[in-house]
Amino acid sequence: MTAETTTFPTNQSRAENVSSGWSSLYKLSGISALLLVAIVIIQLIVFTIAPPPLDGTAIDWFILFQKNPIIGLIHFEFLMIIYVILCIPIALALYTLLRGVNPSWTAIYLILSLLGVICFIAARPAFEMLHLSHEYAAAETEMQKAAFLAAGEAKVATFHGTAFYINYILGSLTGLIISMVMLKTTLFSKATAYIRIASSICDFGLFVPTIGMFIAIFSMLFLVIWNIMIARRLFQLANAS
Amino acid sequence: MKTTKIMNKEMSQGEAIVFHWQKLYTIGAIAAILAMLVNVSDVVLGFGATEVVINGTRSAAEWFAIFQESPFDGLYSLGILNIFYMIAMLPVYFALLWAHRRRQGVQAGLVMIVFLLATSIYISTNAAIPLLVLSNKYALATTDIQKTILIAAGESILARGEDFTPGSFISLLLGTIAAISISIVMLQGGIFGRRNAWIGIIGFTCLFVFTIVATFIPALYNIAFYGFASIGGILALTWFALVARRLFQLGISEE
Repeated sequence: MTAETTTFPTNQSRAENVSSGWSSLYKLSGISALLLVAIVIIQLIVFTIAPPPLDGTAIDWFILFQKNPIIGLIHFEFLMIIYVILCIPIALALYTLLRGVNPSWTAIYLILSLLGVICFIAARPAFEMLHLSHEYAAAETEMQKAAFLAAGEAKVATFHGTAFYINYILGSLTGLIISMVMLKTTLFSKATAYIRIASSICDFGLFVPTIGMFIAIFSMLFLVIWNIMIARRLFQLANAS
Repeated sequence: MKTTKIMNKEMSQGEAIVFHWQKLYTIGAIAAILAMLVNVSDVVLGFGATEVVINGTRSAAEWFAIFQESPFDGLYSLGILNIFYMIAMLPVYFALLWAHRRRQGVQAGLVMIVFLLATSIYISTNAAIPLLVLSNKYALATTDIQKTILIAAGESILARGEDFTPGSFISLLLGTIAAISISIVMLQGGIFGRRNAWIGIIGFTCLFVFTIVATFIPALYNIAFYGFASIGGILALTWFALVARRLFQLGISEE
């Protein structure tokens, strides 16, 4: 056991006792956290090499999908669907670890995290877009092409739609909630909590005109650091239990 | 001596846990007030309208015009406030589940799952922001074919997520079923007053009937709106207030 976990206030020691049967979950979550880092790096590299047509129309996306389906899927954030699914064991692990510290807020954190995951999956119709791009390429008349473009525009609107923004806001909100709970325990370092808070605050940069995207990139950077810290700690806890 | 110390320690741990869980009641109460305020805002904003618009009758082109004139009107009319309401209700349902955990934990847990499902489906299919995105593209479109494509895309989004149309029916229905069910749980549980539970059952049943009529019998929309939605809405607001008050009481009493 590391020095970080040797002393606990009353409710925190209970949190650790409760968590003793969860080592598999902690290992899985640690691996998931590292995979999240890998996904972000892959996404970042692909974004830099071949920037996506984020403000483009359906036809821009169809051309991209036809040119390179893998790049098309990555740009339509298929990997991010895997990302949010990998977040589920992490949320569950943090819930089991921290519920003894503050059951109310950790339970709300878990529910809102799950809601965010479902919203994000609904907001990323990557394979539908790939299918439509094939249909568009095979279309013979202008009328047929127009129909597939319309369907594609609906998918692009969904990509930028309500479910995405709700997921984004919930992601920031749940980050703040779990960080506040983390600050009340020695189970995680204060730095871990503050890094997540910084990430959540920077998330809202997206809504700032012009420089918003740059602020949001900082959020991603903090999140990568946080995931590494979380992975390390979860592996330690898995070994300890 | 040692046993006494251990017992004291265990008791203090138990007290700490209860103390932390009782916060859930306070959070639930505040969330119930927020949900009520969102609904009041919805009603107040609706007062400005000069006519009752039957859902599903506006075309995508008409929605684009509304968004271009006032994005807020468009977002509001396509149910953006309902999303805030549903998210605010999650802690309320959770607090109600916790309150009924001993005798009706399974029923309250099922209701919680149904409501989570309703919220997920509603947010995933909501048309507000996708229509805003399309209306901005529509405003920039230069050719008729581009405009036609965007209108077709808009119709597709509306078919899936405009309020009180078949596309959004399942999520709205599940939402009202969850509200009626939790009121029945409250009635059987005895933790909340019978009056509170009955107000919920009657109020949300009125909204349930309104949802069905507004979705499938547009000809009777006005009758359903004034007959069921207004009564249901007032009763629902009362339900929120009573639930909030009781949750505050539970929070204080367990403290």
